Amino acid sequence: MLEEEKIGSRQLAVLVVMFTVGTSMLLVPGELAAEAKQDAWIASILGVGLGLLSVLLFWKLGDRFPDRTAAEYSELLLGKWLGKAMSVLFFSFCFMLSAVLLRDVGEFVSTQVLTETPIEFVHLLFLLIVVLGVRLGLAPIGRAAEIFFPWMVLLFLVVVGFLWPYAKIENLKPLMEDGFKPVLLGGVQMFTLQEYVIFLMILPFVDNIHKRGSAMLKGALVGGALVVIVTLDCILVLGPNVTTLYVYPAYVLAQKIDIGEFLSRIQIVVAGMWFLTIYFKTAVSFYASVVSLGQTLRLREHRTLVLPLAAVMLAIANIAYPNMTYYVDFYRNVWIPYGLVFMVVPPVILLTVSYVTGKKSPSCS
Amino acid sequence: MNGFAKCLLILLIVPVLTSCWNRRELNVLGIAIAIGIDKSDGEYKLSAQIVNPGEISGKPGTGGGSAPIVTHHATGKTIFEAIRKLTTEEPRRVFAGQTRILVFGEEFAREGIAEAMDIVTREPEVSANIYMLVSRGTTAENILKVLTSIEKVPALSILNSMKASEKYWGSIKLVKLDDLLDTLMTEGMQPALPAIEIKGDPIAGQALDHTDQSDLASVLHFTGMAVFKEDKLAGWLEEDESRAYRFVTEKVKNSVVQIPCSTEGVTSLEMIWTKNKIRGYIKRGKPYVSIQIRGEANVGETQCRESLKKPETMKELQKRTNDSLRRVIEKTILTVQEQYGSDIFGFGAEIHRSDPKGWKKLEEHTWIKEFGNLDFETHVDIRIRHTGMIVDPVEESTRRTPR
Repeated sequence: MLEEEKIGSRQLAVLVVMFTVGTSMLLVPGELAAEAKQDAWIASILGVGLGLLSVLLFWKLGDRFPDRTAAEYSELLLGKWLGKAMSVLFFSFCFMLSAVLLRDVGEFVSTQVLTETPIEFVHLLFLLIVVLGVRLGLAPIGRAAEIFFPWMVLLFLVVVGFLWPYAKIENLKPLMEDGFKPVLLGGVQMFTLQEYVIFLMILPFVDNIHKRGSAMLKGALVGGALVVIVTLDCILVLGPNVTTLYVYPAYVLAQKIDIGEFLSRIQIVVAGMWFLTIYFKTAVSFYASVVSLGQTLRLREHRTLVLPLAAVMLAIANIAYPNMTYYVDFYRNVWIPYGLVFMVVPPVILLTVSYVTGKKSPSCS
Repeated sequence: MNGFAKCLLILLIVPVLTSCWNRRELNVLGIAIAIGIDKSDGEYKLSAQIVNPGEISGKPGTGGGSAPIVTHHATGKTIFEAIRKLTTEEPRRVFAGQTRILVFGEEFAREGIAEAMDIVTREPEVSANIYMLVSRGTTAENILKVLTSIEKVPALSILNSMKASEKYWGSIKLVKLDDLLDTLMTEGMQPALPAIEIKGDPIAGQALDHTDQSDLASVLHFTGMAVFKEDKLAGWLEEDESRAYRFVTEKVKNSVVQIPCSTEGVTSLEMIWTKNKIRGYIKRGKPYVSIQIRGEANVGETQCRESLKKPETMKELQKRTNDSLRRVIEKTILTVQEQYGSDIFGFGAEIHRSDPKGWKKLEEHTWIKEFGNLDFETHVDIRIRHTGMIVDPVEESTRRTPR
């Protein structure tokens, strides 16, 4: 075992909530509205449902190897070379995700908030705290998530509460005008933004084996509910067309808040909430990539990998997308199929092989 | 490391963490509180009303007696170009983060406002809470030049009077940037923006000494709503029509309507609240809407002869109120239908919402064409509640005394 400290099941649940809200809160409403128009909120519910199903799959798979990570048991199941190949795949997914998340932060900050600050500096500053967290280990990350969670919820409730007067219920009609297909497509899109597969690398570091599956499920449910509420709010307040038009509709949504000419311009609250959540998402996926590479290479001390990987991540984030158009195109045409395949196929293969060969961790009774 | 060194280190780190890559202090920004867009010679003409901070600080004697605002103009092939070109005459960089109102010039609005929507939506500096309006009978530039008295900054004066007339007079409906975007992008719905004009001499209104007088030489005033067809200005609604437009399209909190008496004179009713309910569907291939308006009113002032103490008079007044309101609303819808052919009421969108299948069948034709064929019925149900501090008209009581 590489990790000496473990996280509790409640910390896992909180991390999953943060992970779910992370990218989704700002990006999902616009993407879903483009696909399903006024039914975007139904699509988001569907997306959450698909996410929960995938969590069930990871729960089952994880429980067959309670003290091993995906990188370890894929070698156990598939043999040395195939297994290593699978672990490298895992690593590449986690690592690409971390880099893309870093770029998400940079893209948002440099187009919406600090328009003249070079994106590299935003990346660097954000990466510094990610590296700090990952070097300290999973336990401090989990504890920090626990501390920040109430604040995130509080800010969320403030924003949603103040938006209530602006909601126009008629924006939701007509329901399912073009049938179920756009809703389904939207749901699948949202599913690909919740990369719970990463938690296969995290599960063995949770102390309570019996509670961790349900904690993960609870986290996905709560986080999903928050994303559904944001999507619903966008449709109710901005309408499907305006939601589609903006890149970050949830941010524009918060600009609407203007209570008595006094409480206004609080959109940065939404941004702050998003920074909090995407920090934990980035930290968890970066942690997962460090562990998976360390285990693939059978390193005794994987912490040495943090700084070199961070340097590569910074470079990838800087060159990931040349512009916004590429970003939107990349998300639609590359990330959705990639995520969809990666989040379903490898875990299913591993689970099937495990059942067929009957191989599972000895400590699991 | 001892405690002191740690503290020192933390203090040294603090200034580096402020992340002020590009700080912009107040004294280097020209705060554009209002922006006007006109067209001249095929190019955009942008006018910005820029606050003169020294003149609005409120402390007497601090100002040098110059105008509280300056308007600057620039032309360009795009609005963005024009905004940046403003720096050629304005010493400070124009900052649009505090812009509260955007005025479209009449001529420009007739050619279409959609082009101008791109930059205001794209630019992160501009807030989504900016109010949109159209100048009537003049250019946006002239509107922004008129100085005001009680509220020194004209843009804020416009904003407050706009809000007040929405609240207590009911003749205009405020439209924010994202409302306008939504209307422009939604099928079966066309925008209407508040119209503003200059009452009096537009040139005199630009001089600072005109605000020294008690009766201003020129004032800005709202005339009602401007009707758009797609994104092009099609015409104007007068006050009564604008009020009818509001009754049909939204919940109105407070407004005033005039009801003729049975013999002579007029009763002014203060509408306390009204609620609108629109049902739209396709009836035998033709679009159809039913409009229901419910509400309550108080008697504000009456010149009528009848005693309001009698239940029959009250009933009669209520009936006349409903009839007269219904007629105004019907007349307004017909005018808009026939004269402008633009569905500012959003009837099409309502049909789309309530009868999506019927709407699909229509879509081969464009809604703009279909709107002319629209049939509607109107029901008005206003209840009169209070009569103020007295019940009977004063006039009737005074007439009675000599006898």
